[in-house]
Amino acid sequence: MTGPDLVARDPRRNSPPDADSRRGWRRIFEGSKGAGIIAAAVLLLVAFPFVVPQPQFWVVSIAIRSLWLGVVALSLIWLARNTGMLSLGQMTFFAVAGYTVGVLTTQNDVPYVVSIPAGILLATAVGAVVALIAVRTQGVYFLMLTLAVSQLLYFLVLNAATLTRGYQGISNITRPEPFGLSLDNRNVFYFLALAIAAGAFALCWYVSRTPFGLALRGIRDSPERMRALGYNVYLYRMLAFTFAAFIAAVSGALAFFYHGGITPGAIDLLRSIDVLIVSVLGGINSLWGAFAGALGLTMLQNFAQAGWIPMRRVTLTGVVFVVVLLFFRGGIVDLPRQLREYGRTGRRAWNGWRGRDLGGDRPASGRDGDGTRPERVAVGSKLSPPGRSGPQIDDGTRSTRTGER
Amino acid sequence: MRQRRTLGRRLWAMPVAAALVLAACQSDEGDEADMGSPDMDAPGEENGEDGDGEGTDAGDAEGEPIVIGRISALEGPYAAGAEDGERGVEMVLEEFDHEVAGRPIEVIVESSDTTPETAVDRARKLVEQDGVNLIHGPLSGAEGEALASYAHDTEHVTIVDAASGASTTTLSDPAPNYFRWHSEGAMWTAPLGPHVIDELGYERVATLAEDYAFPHAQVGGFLEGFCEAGGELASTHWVPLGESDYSSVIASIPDDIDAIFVALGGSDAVDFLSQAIDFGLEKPIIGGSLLVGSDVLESEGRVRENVEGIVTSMVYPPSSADVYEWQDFVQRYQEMFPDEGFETPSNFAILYYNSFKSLLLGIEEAGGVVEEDDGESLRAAMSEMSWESPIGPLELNENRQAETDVFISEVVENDGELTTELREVAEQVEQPDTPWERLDECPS
Amino acid sequence: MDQILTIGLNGLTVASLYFLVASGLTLIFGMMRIVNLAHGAFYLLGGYVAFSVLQGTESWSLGLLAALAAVGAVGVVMHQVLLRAIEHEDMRVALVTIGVSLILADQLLVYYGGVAHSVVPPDFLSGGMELGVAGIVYPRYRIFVLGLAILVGIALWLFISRTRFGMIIRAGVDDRDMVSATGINVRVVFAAVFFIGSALAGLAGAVGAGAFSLAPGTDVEYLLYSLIVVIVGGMGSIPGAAIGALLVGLVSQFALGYTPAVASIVTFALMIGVLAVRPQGLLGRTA
Repeated sequence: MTGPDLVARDPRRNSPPDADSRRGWRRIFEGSKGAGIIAAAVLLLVAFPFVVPQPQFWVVSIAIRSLWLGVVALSLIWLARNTGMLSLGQMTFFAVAGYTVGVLTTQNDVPYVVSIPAGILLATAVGAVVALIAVRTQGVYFLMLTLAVSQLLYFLVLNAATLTRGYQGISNITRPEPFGLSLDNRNVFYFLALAIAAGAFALCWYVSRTPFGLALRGIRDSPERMRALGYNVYLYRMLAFTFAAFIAAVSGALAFFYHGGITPGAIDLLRSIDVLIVSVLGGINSLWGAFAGALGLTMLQNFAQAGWIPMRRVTLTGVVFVVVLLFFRGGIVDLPRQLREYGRTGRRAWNGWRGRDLGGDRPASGRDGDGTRPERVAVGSKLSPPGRSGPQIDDGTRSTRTGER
Repeated sequence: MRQRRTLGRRLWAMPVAAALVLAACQSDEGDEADMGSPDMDAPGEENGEDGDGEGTDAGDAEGEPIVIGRISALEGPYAAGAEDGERGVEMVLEEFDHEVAGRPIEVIVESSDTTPETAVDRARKLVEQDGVNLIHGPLSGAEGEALASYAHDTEHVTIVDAASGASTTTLSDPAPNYFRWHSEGAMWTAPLGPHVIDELGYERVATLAEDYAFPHAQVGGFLEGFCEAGGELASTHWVPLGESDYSSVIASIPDDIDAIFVALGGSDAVDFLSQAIDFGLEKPIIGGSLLVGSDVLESEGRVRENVEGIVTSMVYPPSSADVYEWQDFVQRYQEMFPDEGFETPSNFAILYYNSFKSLLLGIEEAGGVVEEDDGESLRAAMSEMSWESPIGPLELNENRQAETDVFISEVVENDGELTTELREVAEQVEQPDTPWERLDECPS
Repeated sequence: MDQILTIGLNGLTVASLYFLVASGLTLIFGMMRIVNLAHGAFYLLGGYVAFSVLQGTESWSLGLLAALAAVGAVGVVMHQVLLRAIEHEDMRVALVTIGVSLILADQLLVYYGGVAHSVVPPDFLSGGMELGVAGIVYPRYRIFVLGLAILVGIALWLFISRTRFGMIIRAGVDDRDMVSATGINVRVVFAAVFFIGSALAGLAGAVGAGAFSLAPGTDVEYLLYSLIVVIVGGMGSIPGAAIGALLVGLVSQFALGYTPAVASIVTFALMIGVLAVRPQGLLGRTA
């Protein structure tokens, strides 16, 4: 499966592929109410560092952190939305960018003007190389492969101690001062991070709307059809993956200055999972979800640590993750709608229970699994005949059942 | 239709999820009751936790509470050691009756997982959110380096290292507000090299260590003295922190050595020691400072059978050694923690104790002035101060680094119990001039 | 020569352990298309259960059995409570298991702390034994692990290919409705598969903890190794898991013996190399 179960794809509106990207944005941007909301949001973001109490905490530990974390998640969500590929490897490119900047500047005195672009470029190139292999796989295979690649890099930086200083990592950096503005100043850093995040967001949004983005979603929904139309499916997927790597790399360079360095601990498995949690928590169906989720997770972890919630941080993160996956599929950005939906269902269930008049509509809890059938048929409109899947258990990639075929 | 069906089923599962959440909360609270401390988040919890009304004791003192942020590695590979460190801190708090210079002490404990990012994140949280001016922590070398660099950014905060042992922390560009009241990793093993040659007669060794700052320093310190005294290095073996499989590393250790110097700690040490027996490694083992700490001696399994005869050098004396006030400390530890503690205090207990007490003594010396002058008087006080700790006199050199005694000891079996016995005390071992990087040959 | 033999044996015995862990993962995937990323946490749980039971009853075999049963039960509960409703969405299922893995590992850290634990094997399995080749003395316990893995492998293969139950499972994967129509309760069958798959992780944990200590982080280590094994061997294939485990075990041990610094990288490189040539793994099939 190409992961479409996590990525919104309404079976009834399977084509044309561009429809779903336009719908949401049109609604926001057209109409004065939407413009008002946008203006208010911009105002809030700009005024934010000047109005919050404890700015050191809210601006640095919450806002800037959410911004760079959001950009990594943005790369994951963009990739998932447009290609159906869910990656656990975005931290790989994040790390390559951070380490390249660190190794070049702190250990070889290359100026930041050179090392930052070099880091992002190298990370993007690594993305292209990983893509060569990764995009040949699908669904959970892709998930596991990207996870393994990120672990490979983790061990690589751990072991290449002469370059990366191993376990200690690179620290003690001096932050650059572009145009005489020191990045040690939290407001400068905040606006830089905000600008980068906004830029990354705009770029992702724009690319989704180009013919390239449309083709990607066409491939996501029906690779066979697109292939028949003459598209080079492999190349498109590769380019998409590389683009996502680029976005993650930008975040890696930003986070390098946020942390004042980088160490293997910043890119281990738990951090990769964090990015995934951010995406799911925020809502993997919307690019906004990246930032909503980053803010959510950052707050959650900070406040769990502060003892506001009587649960260990990791356990709490896990519980929230599972609850969101099971009950709030749209994540934070879609929360109001989902709550309304639950309200309705709850009322209906209540009425049904009282009146016993809607029984037929709800599943008897004894029956199971079959509820999924209709969707599967609707989505994978070309479901293969049973015989082809074969009865053996070693049918490696049959997970593509509802995806590519 | 389909939508509603799934929703219905999810609603059904809701109570189950709620139960899961509850279970998770509950087990957490239970844990605090059982094991003392792995999850101390709430501000001031330290006060309440010791029972017998210390909370009110703290209230008796006049003046604003003095808030100390603490970073302890309660998650990750050294969790057990950190828990023992917390016991050392509790001993100090009890000694001071939870107040210093007439002000009640309030402790905020943040848990780290021994990664530098987490340590700095937690430090940021303490400084920015809780507004602390004093930080006590961390445990591991990489964390220490990260915090020392963070110290440069936050000049109004005074950081007292709890137990970290990386050399660079107080060597390359030491921060004026970073204090370390114990020796660093290279100093711990420096006297071991000559001792091995002179007393044990091992002239050709191999080394095996984890590949990060602290073991780098340990191997460096050992090899410097060892090579200088005429010893010969056969090979070096480095494994990543957390390696559990040593069988093939053991197989690749050369045969023509007299002994192997092993600087591993925590679960890595346990795995190595048990596999060393399984795979018939018959060479004597010279231990780094963490190889046979209490957590290893008391860990479960067959390791216990295999550590006899290991010679190590540590920054604290064996429990049986009659030096300084050490015996009093051991006794107090055993009285305070008869059940949950180790049989004898680990290095983390004494290092946390010394560093935390040094901080409190410094505050006392500074007359409780901490916040007003951004820590100026506290730093001046600590730089000048010296006191007799349970493991010997403590004072700081110009890098705000203590130069303490090092204790070389041997693991012996005594009535079926494993203990360590003192062989030699090296007094006031000096801080080296350069930090040790990873060494693969004798330092020149 | 000795060294090569010993390292080769290490590779074989480590491969056995990897196979024990990975076989459960691949079994569940093969039957139900579910990637259980909590498998590493299940390994850890199995080890700790065996440890506790061994402490309480002083019986090693009881510890093994308890680990098997307890972890199998946990697996079934996880499947029934959390996964069944979303069974058809394989990606979401994988993510939920990541969440479960985080929670479980963290709670185990709470109960067992950070001290390394090991499950001490009984006397008749400890110590070394003469192999009669080049005078090598090899730990008896590791030979036992090797034998156990071979036994489990053969049993699984026979179970799936030769028994009626195995046939039902294979049919159930293929067309659940049709199997249901013949009067077989597919849900029970799938629960059984989940039980067996998870129990294998528990067993592996209990057995593995006799050779390598358990500590926080062990879960991630074994999850990664079993993922690599099944990716290399081909997801869903039991023989694939065996071959994958063998490759990974041997490559990682020789790397550890000769270039310990880059050992983990070599292992991952093996995986990527295999994938570059065969994206579906060595014995995996294309759709």
